[in-house]
Amino acid sequence: MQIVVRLDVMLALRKMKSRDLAERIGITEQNLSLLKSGKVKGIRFETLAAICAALNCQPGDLLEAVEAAADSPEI
Amino acid sequence: MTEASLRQIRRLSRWLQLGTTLAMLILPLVVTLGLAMALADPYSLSQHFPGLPDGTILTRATATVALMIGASMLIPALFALSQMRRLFSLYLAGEVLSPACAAHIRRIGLSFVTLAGMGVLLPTLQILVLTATNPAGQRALSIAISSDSIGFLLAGGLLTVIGHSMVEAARAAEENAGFV
Repeated sequence: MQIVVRLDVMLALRKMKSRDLAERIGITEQNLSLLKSGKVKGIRFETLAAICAALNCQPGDLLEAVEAAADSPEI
Repeated sequence: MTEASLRQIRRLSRWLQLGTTLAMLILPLVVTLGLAMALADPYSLSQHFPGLPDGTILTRATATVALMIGASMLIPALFALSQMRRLFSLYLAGEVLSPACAAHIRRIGLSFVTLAGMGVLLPTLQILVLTATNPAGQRALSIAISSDSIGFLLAGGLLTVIGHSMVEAARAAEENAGFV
């Protein structure tokens, strides 16, 4: 199993730009981009909570466990 | 690491890098000057070696060899200074917790330990050389441990341990940087 980040889907559903989310949660756009592409080792609970608050969603809406062969961004 | 502490590290490192650069330039000059003065008057060496037996004849040849032995301490001293200079350059560039910094700190520590060892060994060799031409029974062997040597040994040991710990800190920092 691997964890896939569905942040781009939630951003599209909420019609929010990455730049706006980065500003609201207090991280750089570069780091947010890395998170969206799954090129990070992990996500802090603090960041996850801030994203959930900004997008009015649950952690489960942002992260999904899929089979390892999936061709999606993963943590 | 906060921006404020990084700024402070950079500010201090700028001055310390300048200081180590100046020390690397001045130290060889001071040693050369000291050697020249001592060679001009070999008997002035007796002031630095109070353990020399009375009647020791200080020739220019024995004085030269003894002084060259003493001057060899310049090698680890300059090595330590060059490592400090490189470390401060990294700090100045904002690279604080990295394997390169850890390696420099460890090498500085090892240089200090070497200086401590040489501080004990070299004066012994120097007195042996200076009294080598004395008649049998008037040659001297003197072994002494100065507080400077003990200080260098403790500081060197401490820096070596910190260098090893910094490797672990650098690894943790690298892992932490992978989290958002």
